[in-house]
Amino acid sequence: MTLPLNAAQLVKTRQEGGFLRTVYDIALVTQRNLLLDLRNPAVIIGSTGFPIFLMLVFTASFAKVVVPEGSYTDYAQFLVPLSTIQGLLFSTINTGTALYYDLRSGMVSRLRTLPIARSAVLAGRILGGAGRLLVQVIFITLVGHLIGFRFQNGFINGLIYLLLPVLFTSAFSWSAVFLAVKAKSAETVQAAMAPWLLPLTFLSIGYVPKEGFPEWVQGFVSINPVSAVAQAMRGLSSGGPYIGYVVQTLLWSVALTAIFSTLAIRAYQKRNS
Amino acid sequence: MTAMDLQARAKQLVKVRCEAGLSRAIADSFIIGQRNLIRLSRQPAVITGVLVFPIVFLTAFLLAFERSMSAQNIDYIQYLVPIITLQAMFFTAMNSASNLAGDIDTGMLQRCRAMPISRAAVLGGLLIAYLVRAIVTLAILLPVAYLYGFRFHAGVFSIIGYILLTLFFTTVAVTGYALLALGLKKPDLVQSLVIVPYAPFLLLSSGFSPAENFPTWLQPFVVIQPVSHVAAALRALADSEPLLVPLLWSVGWLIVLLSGFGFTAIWLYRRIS
Repeated sequence: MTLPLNAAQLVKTRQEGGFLRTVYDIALVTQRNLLLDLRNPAVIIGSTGFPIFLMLVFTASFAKVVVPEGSYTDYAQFLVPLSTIQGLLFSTINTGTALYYDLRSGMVSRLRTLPIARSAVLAGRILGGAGRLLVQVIFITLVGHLIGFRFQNGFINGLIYLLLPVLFTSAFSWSAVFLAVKAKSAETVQAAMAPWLLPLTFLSIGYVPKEGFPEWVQGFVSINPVSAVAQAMRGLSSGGPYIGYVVQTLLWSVALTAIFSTLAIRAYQKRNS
Repeated sequence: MTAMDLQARAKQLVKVRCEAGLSRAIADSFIIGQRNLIRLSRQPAVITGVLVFPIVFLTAFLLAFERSMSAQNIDYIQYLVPIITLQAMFFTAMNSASNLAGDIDTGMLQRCRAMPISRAAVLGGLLIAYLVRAIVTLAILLPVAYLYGFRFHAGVFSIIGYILLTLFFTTVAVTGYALLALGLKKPDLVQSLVIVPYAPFLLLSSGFSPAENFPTWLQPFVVIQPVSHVAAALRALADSEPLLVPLLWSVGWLIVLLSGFGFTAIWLYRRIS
């Protein structure tokens, strides 16, 4: 066996570059992140338990306020999509803090010294997060089923219902990744995410229909991406128009990914460690 | 020198250095309290917790539910501000638990015990610091609520009563949450469990939505639990409505809880070594 002569040849022999290798590296880091989640079930249970609890409480306390003539089941049918997307959006904070701990503990520095694709760290984080989000969607929907939420629109639409919020939230979690790369402590990620997650989820067509808001907020409520996702999911589960909302959600996802992945990657490259 | 002499000398030393007595205990508590406040002022998450969170919650709930509530003849700003106040106090107490657990974890607690300070000073100082934080929160929240249309209809005494009852509630909450920190000792564990007392007591209360809106089987819990009573008393103070019944209920609850929590906290504190 002859030894490779220079670095370029070395890289070629060991197949360290190229698209396939990048995909493979991303899959490997994703697997590592998923394994960490799997061995730490308390984190998933905690971050899923709270949105489920919120969903139950809101159904119990606001059903008669929002739909005075309806039953608790009617409000559940209305609320479960928003509770799902809200739960997922809040768990992007976990994605951010997990990345922050990786950065601080030196895990990321270790990965940088390895001959793997540079994008693997961040993309693996997002994809690992997506795996966790999917588990959460399924749990929340199952509990929603118990309080009367039903798929009334066929199997395929039900499947899209489960995947759409995962896609949107994965795009959204780029913002958490960006903050984590910039942050100086784990609490900073949380402190910076929560103040804008709250208005995004509350001021959407989620807990109340658009007409429930004062006129001057209705403009924001309509363009709020969370409204689009909630409406799309509502259409997918209960019937009614949804194609437009699905397209809106996809466009928002692309836009969020484009903006925040650029920012995150740039910040990541500038980081010393 | 005989043992008797030694004992006498030690007593004299303690007397000269004024290491015991009530005034010394209070002075020590204030020093520890000051230390906690300095630490609080350097945590960015605390700044958002104090400044942003209560206002964001107030605004979001008000915008989302004011119209639906006015259909039930409820002036929602008057109804909502008390529970938002109590929620802010819950957040305050939750933060105190994670900071106390941090002190136990890093050995700060043991350091304090090795010093000639009153044994009550660690818990007393914690309470003092978080009461100051509670006052700061009120000083920010109430003016904002005033801008949104919240009014005290019974003059200056009702404002003083409102503040005192809120601070009493905070005292109970901080003591109760101290149990969590003293019992579990691990900051991560405490951080993930602080939500457990918060969620049922704050959210399943008549603070956000009247008890009649809950399902019938839940109503007994909603009606009887302390947060509902304190919220009702605060509301009665602001609206200058009949005060005696809710006030007696809430003060009764708070005294019972404070003595229960207090004794357990002292017992747990002594057991930590």
